[in-house]
Amino acid sequence: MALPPQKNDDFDGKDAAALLAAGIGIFALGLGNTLGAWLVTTRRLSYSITRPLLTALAFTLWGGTWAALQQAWRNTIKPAKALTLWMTVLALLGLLLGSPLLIWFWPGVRFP
Amino acid sequence: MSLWPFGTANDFPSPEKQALLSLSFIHGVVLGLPLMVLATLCISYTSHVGKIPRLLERGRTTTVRQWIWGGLLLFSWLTPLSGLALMYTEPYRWMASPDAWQSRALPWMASWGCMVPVAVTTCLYITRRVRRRGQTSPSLTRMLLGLMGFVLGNILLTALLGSLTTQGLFYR
Repeated sequence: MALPPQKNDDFDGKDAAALLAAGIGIFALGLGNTLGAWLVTTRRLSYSITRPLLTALAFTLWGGTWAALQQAWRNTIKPAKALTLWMTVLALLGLLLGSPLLIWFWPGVRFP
Repeated sequence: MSLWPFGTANDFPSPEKQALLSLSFIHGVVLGLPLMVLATLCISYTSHVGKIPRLLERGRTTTVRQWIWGGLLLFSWLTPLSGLALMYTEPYRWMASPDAWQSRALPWMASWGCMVPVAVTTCLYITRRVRRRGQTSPSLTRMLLGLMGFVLGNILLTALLGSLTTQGLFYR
């Protein structure tokens, strides 16, 4: 039995907030790695401190963005196409930044 | 320095060193494998969002579904965080050799793993809202399916990369 589809195909504000925040969180986790690699390599920061700190920061950014967007977009409707595009781009960029293939572009990187 | 980022056959650990891999192996079997199975089950459910899945149409559907989603949420957080904690507290029991701690793939593996709970939590939140509303839109269903596909793909990538890392393929 199929449930009745919504008349409007766009996203509810709370759903949109959760999705965009997830995209931002995934991007932040990927960015954290590249940033961490740079900090450890060039700034000689401690690997065992930098790595968990950046991960914790990415999780905090995700949670904070979700809470803020949920508050701001309460009782609103957001365009599905634009949001899907942003979410996809952010998730793919996060995956790319978190990819071991980046080693090719970091010939001088040293861990820890 | 060679630009080839992967190790050679000589980098693979000896049998003595492989015995040290017990912790990473146990972690993969006890936490990684259930996570993969639960994610597959949830994709099956997500693909039926908007209609009652035939598989769960009769019997204790709600309870089973809640256990599956709850288990996925629990394992999605527990697996990467415990993996990270073990890597930092017991690096020599996690890696095939002390040199593996310097593997350049290690931080990336952890990054992909940490993306899983973010996507799973979002999926669970939206799925609950869809069920409460009793209706969904095609865009939201597609988005949920895409996010669940991302979850399963990331688990597989992390498992593959984790195995290769502990086996020494990425040693420098």
